[in-house]
Amino acid sequence: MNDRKGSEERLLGALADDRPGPEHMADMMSGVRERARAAEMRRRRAGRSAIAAGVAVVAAAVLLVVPMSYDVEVGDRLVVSWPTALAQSEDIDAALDGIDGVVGRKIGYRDGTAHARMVVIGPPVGEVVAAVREVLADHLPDHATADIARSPIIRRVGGNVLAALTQGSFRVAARGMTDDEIELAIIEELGLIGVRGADAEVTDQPDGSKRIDVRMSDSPYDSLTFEVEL
Amino acid sequence: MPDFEYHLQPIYPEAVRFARALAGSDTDGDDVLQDALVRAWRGYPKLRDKDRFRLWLMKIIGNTYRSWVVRRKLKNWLTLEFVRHVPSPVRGSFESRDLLHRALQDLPAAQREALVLFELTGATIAEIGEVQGASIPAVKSRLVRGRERLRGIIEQLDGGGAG
Repeated sequence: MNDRKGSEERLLGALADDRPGPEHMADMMSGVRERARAAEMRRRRAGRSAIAAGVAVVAAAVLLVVPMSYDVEVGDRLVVSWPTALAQSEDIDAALDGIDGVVGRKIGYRDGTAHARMVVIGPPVGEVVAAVREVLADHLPDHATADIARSPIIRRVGGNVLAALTQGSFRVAARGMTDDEIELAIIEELGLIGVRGADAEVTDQPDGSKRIDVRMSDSPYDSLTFEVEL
Repeated sequence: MPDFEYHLQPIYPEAVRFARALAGSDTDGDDVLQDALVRAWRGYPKLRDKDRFRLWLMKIIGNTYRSWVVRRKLKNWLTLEFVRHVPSPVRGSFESRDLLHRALQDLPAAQREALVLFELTGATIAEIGEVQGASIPAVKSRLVRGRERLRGIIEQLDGGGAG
């Protein structure tokens, strides 16, 4: 009975004398230092990620909430001119319509020259110009000369980005513009807010006012409002 | 941090025995000890009274062991390999330390921790009370009950109580 009573004491006593070898602590501490270093690096990385996330949140808040005003290049205007006597201008106009990135187009004729004014948004303007050159080469004789003039479309963005993204509206300051310029300006604005292939037509009314007809085959907006300042 | 190792060195054997006895094997005990030492390493600069290093470390080892048990159970559940430990009668083929490790695993956690601290690390009852956050009578009770229960388990495992 006494032997049984002391069994746990003998075992505990044997275990109490158990000592790890001298190299055990060195190996253990080597692992501890390595893990502590790795944990520290993870903590620093997590800290940097948190800072980056915080900066992103602040930047998003600035973009969406804080009013701002800045100029942005949103597209290009191309004016393509060719002599009407040397080509079927309607065919060239139709071919220009099929070029990717051309969101609006008006053609006019003056002094024996056709002028196709195009609004280009999306692809690099160099690609569009190259496509225009191909169209002209296909429809004009070798000795004919054609001009392509390009100017950037620059818009001053006001308000905040959130408003710009959610509003289907725009304003055209048309004071001093010819009717052709007003039409193109409207087509430009429509293209900029995602309405592609629209057409605008300005006609003078007997009472001295102007009537503006806008045709859109496809629009991402349920309703759309715009204002033309004459 | 050489200062950390300076304080660890004299009590290192106690820490090893404590962790191994809690975990039930040398391998698991060394894993628990390394986890605990990583925690202690990080927390060491904040330990104001370096004279309390020994008790502080034992407390960390105890806490780390409890976290380790939870993690191991979760892991076993996730891999569907968890089998509830049922003590099985084992005849005298075990070496004494294996037998004791196995028997300790069948003790309630608080009794095991108190008994191991008392027997294998030389901690006093007051120190155990501090590590466990328990009163001195509670620690004494854990030691007495733990010892009695351990004796019974060892006899059963060793075949001494079978006949």
